[in-house]
Amino acid sequence: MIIKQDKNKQNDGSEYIAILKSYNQTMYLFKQLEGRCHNIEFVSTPCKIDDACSQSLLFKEECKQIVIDEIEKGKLDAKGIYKVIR
Amino acid sequence: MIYLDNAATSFPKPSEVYEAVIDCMKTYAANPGRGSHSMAVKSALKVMETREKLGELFNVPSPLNIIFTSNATEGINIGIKGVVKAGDHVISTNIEHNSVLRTVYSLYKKGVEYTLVKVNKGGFINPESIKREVKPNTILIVVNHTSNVIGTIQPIRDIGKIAADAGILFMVDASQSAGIIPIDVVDDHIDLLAFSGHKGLLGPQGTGGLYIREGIVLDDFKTGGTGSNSSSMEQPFFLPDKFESGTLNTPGIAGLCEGVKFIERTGIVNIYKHEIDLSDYLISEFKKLSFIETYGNITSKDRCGVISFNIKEMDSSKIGYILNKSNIAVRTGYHCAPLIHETIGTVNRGTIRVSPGYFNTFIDIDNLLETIIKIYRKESLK
Repeated sequence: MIIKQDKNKQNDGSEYIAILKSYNQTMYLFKQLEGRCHNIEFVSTPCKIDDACSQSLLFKEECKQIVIDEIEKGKLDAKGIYKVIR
Repeated sequence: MIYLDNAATSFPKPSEVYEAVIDCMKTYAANPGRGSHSMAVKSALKVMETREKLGELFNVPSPLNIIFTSNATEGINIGIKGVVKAGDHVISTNIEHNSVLRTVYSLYKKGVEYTLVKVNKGGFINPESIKREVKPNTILIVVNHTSNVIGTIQPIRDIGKIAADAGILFMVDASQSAGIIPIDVVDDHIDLLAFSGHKGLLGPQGTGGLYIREGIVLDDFKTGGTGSNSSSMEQPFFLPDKFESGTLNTPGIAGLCEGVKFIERTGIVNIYKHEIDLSDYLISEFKKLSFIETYGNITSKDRCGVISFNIKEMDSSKIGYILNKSNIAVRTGYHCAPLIHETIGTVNRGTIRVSPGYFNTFIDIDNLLETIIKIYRKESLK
């Protein structure tokens, strides 16, 4: 499931994690975003969401659309993009 | 030592290759694909960068369709055994390396049919001969892009077109050509491309890969941990994970990355030109020596820097032994490609193979020639 961004919505400083089908797809996406998304991080996926040793990308609200676009462009298989609630 | 055995493995490598291997091992060689700490991420980024560089070199649409293997032979096994089943028919040629011949033959014993199309004396496949062998159960055509015995470059684009038109998978063994001769998996209609990382791509030994076109489903080759879908007992079905169980050779892949970057900087055309210039020079000097017999296509057209020859009535292994004593490294014998020797007339004799690389010079070739002349004079007096 991919959350579509509301372009009119203000940047509220939220953080998101993107979970892809595989480590390699996540790494590929991470590499495509290098230099375009600041503060993007490679993190272990919380086991509550995915119990498969997977890795995710943690990023800020302002990168969300870029992430979505790159997932679509690379024909990557996203398991989902989740909003982080602390 | 004058090293003239680059068809076996290239030596030396560009200095950046050695440095990248050491740097990786000393500073960040954590397990790629198995964690999110900085070292693991750096390792995985290096692996991904290498996939991307290889993808650019071969015009592969997505780098995720390239899997790393320990050598070209492993890639060939994954490709052939992954797709061919009992009752299927495979077409290949008699100029293949044992990496293909033995793999196909092992399947023959399990009910697979095969046809080996014969090349001509120059070592060339006639694509029409392949077309004539296509049967309703033909599933795969496997062709050696460049011969490791006589250096012939095959018309893979023409053969690929025949395969594509007939709906048959086309696999290319690029062990000798990757990094030296341009390959475009799209224009050449290649479905499976196996390559070594330690020859023309100038990487360390223990590296290689296989491109698998999107949509082709191959059987597992090995199973195990991939760092993905860990909660499932099923092997992941997606690429590259499906074929990369176990820890990758990250230091080797880091070195391979630098090898590919060196090719990019130098220009594949310039690398090929240098190797063919050295080969042409050697062949032109051989023509002046009546006691030398050279095999295969001896023009520079459609040939790479691999030359096979014999010295009149002398055993090839003996010549190799004496050359080694003179600090010149060449290979002698069958070169793991037994069937081509029937075509070139070297059964029970083999050949002496010279394969210059990008770092060889004309002086190296002069030294080789001088030593060969000395050997002939000395041995013919016995």
